[in-house]
Amino acid sequence: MFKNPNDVIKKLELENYLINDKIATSVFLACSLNKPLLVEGPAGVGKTELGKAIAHATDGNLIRLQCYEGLDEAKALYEWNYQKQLLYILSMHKTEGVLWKDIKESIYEPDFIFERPLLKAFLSDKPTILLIDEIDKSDDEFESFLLEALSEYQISIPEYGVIKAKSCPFVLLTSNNQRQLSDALKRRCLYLYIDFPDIETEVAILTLRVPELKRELACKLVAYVQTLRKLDLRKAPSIAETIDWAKAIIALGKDDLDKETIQKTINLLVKYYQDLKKVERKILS
Amino acid sequence: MKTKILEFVGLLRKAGLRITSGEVLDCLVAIKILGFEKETFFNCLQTTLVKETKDLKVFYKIFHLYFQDYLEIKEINKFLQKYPQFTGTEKAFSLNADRKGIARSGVGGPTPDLFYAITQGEFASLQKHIELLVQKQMDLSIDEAFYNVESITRNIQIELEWFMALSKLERTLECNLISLEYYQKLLVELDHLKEWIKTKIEGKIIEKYDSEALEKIAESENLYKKDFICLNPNQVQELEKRIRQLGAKLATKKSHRLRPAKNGRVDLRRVVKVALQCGGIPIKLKFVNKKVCKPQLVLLCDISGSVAQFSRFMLQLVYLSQAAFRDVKVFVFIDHLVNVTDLFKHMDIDDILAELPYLTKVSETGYSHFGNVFNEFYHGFIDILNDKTTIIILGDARNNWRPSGLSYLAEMKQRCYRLIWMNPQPREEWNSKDSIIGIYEKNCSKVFECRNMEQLEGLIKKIF
Repeated sequence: MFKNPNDVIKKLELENYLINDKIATSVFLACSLNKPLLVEGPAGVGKTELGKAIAHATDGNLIRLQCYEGLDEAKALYEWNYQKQLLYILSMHKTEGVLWKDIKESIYEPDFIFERPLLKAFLSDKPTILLIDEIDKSDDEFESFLLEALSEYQISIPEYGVIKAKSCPFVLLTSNNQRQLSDALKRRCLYLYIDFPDIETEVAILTLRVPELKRELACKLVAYVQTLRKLDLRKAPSIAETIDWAKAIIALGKDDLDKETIQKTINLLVKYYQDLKKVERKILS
Repeated sequence: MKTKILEFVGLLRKAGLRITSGEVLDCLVAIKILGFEKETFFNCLQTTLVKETKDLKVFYKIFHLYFQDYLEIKEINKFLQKYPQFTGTEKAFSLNADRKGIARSGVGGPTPDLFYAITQGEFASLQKHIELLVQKQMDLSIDEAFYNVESITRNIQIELEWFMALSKLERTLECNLISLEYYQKLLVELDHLKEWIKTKIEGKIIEKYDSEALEKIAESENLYKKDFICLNPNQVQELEKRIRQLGAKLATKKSHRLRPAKNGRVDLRRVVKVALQCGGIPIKLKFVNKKVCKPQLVLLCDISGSVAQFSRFMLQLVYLSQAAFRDVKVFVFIDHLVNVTDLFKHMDIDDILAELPYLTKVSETGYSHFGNVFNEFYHGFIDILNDKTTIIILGDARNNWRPSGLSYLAEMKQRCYRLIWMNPQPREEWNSKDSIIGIYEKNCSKVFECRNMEQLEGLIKKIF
């Protein structure tokens, strides 16, 4: 997939995704050691984008599993097609010479399985990037289902047997650290923490993503956003929001950052009323 | 190098990181692939050994201390043993200070202007001056330095007139003399400088105490085993994140009771019922799953001195997991009981915690009086208890030789499902001096020692 960490940096840069040595090393090691990569960091720093960029850079098949409370193995791994099994039993029941024993065995074949994202990733012929997004939103039980899949790259189906992955997918798990993940899961993964970038990197990202933005203005926008992040807001503005803000300012036809423009567009960066009050009190005033 | 990595892993474990042998193996394989180049080596170790955000800072610190300071000092010592004629070099570092703290900087000569240094990039003289300040501070308090890196750093900041420089910087920005971008850069520089001061202090400790210092520093970084009372503000902030996670977990904890759900166990009774509509063919499956349990909780928190930090954590925890309980009643006390349940319903937790020291009704004398608190609870709130209520009392049971109010506690125990006492005092100090936990224990369902985060987490799992 990648030859070395520098190769990761180059290939992802071609996909307009800028990374530092640390991220590159983690991605490269995850590929080399065949280990899932657990990515944590504040919302909006580009964790999911990293998965997408890797998929594009390696021309791989991106399969995304969005986690939520209540997600179970039936939605993530596999599910028996109960209705199809029922129809099969009913149709075979009327056929002469077919014993119940035979029917019982044949209804637990891959034909009757609904493939969910994880199984799909394991059975894909193409190199696959499996993005398990916001794993911290799922329940503890779901984490346990993942353990076998992430360490052995196989899925055990009690009625059928073990399904091994045709080729090991590159697994990327993202988390916003809302709850603590189990030690068992963390032990199976390599770990990467992506923080908000420094000023230079964020300016580079901004000019790359919004090419029509002048560098001078980009510097001003980033400096402003970085100041907001230091205010201990309930939700600090993310990189994605900085990009949106830059686009909004371009759309308004502004080529400089003045107080009036900030006041008109601040809602693109600050999303809570208390935060807005704090920003007004500490900066805008 | 393998030995050094294993030694390093040992230190990380002492600092509270849970590193398995498998992870150490991953780390060695990663290093084999990428080699020992400084930056890459650091990244390899970090990505394979650290698995939690909270551990990152600890990792940076121990890595820096072990691979830079400790090993470097070892090399220097080896060199000095071989060539003793060079041992005099350290004297060049001696101080001019009067050691009485009378001089402006305490180290002789004028203090370099921090504001000027950072705005003009004149770091050389500043760093030299800081090194002298560090040496001075270490001479004063090297034996206590293990646990006081933060306060020593702050002392040095004060001597450097750090906060004055910071305010000057803010004013310069307000007057539009510097750009916001430049201001940000300077703040980052100051952060780096502060970290540099800390590492200098720790370097000095290691220089004196060798590997013993490293182990002690590592142990002092283990937040989970550190007594609540010994936590510094940064560590409190770090643990508050864990409290938030714990609160969220508690709020969604499931009981053994089942209810209809979209997935889970097949509910045969409902499947058959629906099958009747399809001529008896069970075409649709129906499920049941575990229901979220909701106990009733009454929390009594002592907010006097030594127990205050623990009570704050517990209040945060209960605030964040209110949804997990059918009914929560929260009381705080020192020598009088105050019901703060309404604050919990209408205020933000940060505001509640900020409000606590100003609740004048909780304290008349400033000393805990459990007997009076139980008396007030009995006469004012006993009716809120029923056979489903769990009472949790947080306190060290140090009653300042006042009446115990045991009969009231016994009555409370009679009226509730269970009464649990969490005591943040070390078990070996129980029942000594004015502690009467032994007397209260007979009227509690269970008394637990709860001095640190590790114990608190274990208890929460046990109780709920």
